[in-house]
Amino acid sequence: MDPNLFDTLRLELRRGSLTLAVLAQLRSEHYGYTLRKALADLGLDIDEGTLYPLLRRLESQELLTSEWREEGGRKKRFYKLSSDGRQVFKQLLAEWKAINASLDRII
Amino acid sequence: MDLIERYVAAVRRHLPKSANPDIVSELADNLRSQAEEREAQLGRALNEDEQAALLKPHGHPWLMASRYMPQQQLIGPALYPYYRQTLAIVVFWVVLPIILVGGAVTALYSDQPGQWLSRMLQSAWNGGIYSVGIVTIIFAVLEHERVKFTALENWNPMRLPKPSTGREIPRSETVIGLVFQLAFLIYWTKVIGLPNFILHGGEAVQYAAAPIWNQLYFPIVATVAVSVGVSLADLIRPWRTTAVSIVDIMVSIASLAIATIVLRESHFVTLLGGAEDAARLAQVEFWVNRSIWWTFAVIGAISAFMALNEMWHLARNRNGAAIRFA
Repeated sequence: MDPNLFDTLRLELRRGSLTLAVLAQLRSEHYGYTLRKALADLGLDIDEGTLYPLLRRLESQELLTSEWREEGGRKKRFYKLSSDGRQVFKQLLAEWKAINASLDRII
Repeated sequence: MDLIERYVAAVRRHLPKSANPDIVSELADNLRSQAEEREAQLGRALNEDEQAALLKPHGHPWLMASRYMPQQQLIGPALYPYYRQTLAIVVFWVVLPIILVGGAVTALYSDQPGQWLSRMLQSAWNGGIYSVGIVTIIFAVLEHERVKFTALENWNPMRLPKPSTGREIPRSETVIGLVFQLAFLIYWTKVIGLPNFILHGGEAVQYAAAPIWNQLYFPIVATVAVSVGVSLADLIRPWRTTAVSIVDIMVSIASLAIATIVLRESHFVTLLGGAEDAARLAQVEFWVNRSIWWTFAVIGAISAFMALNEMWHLARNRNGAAIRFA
């Protein structure tokens, strides 16, 4: 068996889930570092090289809004769900629940 | 300048000019936040080794910068099947025939026929690289512009071809045959101006063709043209239908008939030269004529074999079909 096979499949499995987790967490406002910490505290580690480009992509897709504000003596970029983002999140969540329910029955 | 600043500066260098400048500010803030958290745990500033350990999981600056690029793949999964199919079509239907026909023509007409293989390989390499490169660039642009192909979305299952029942003809075999047929047709019709001489002892010697070639000119053109048609049919649909088999048998019979007519003769060309070299020319002429005769003897034998072989396959397939549906 290809030793990298598990990693490849794991990456595929995580890719969509990470987007859902980030959208879920950004129902309340976060900047990158606290978002990553919050996800890690809830058991979902995501490295910066994935998180920050993902935030940029979601923002360019108008699912997130962001603004620069000063906090703790430094300017930080805060992200939160846009109105489109909230709508897409609801749809994705329903889809994920349906897939999860099916998988529960299958497995 | 500490390692974090150097890392951020390196990422900035690798980002495209058009990239949003706050990418770097955000990255710097994240790294500083991590460093501060670690420093709070240790109760002191991070040394260089500890900064390096903090930076290492973020990946090489070039890799980090590349993740911010809008397009992460040259050709994505939606376009990839079209890309692959286009490459196969371009290489198989355009580049390969051009290379093979070009190679055959070079071999026939080049003033340095010994170089035909190296020229063919060189043109194969260039043609392959250019065609793959051009197709890849076109698809990369389509991917960049997010063009969606919808042509195959409205496909009709009713138009699916029936499974092939005829004998399979390998396309490689067909392509080789087609190259020789086309090369011969070009030679025979002299469409690219075959000079009227053959080489003898390094010198050009003119020849006069015997009248039989004028009589057989059109039958030979017609036979080869039909055989080109059979090859093209085999190339498009690489299994034999009854109709193609019958046409192929007719081509073989026509070739056999032409060979039979040729074999009744013994003199096919007359070499033209000065009287001082008459004895030598006569000897060469004898061997040229003898070679032509034997060539047509072989062509006749092969044609007879091919006609019988195709008849046998045709009969076997028809019997097989009768048994299956009995």
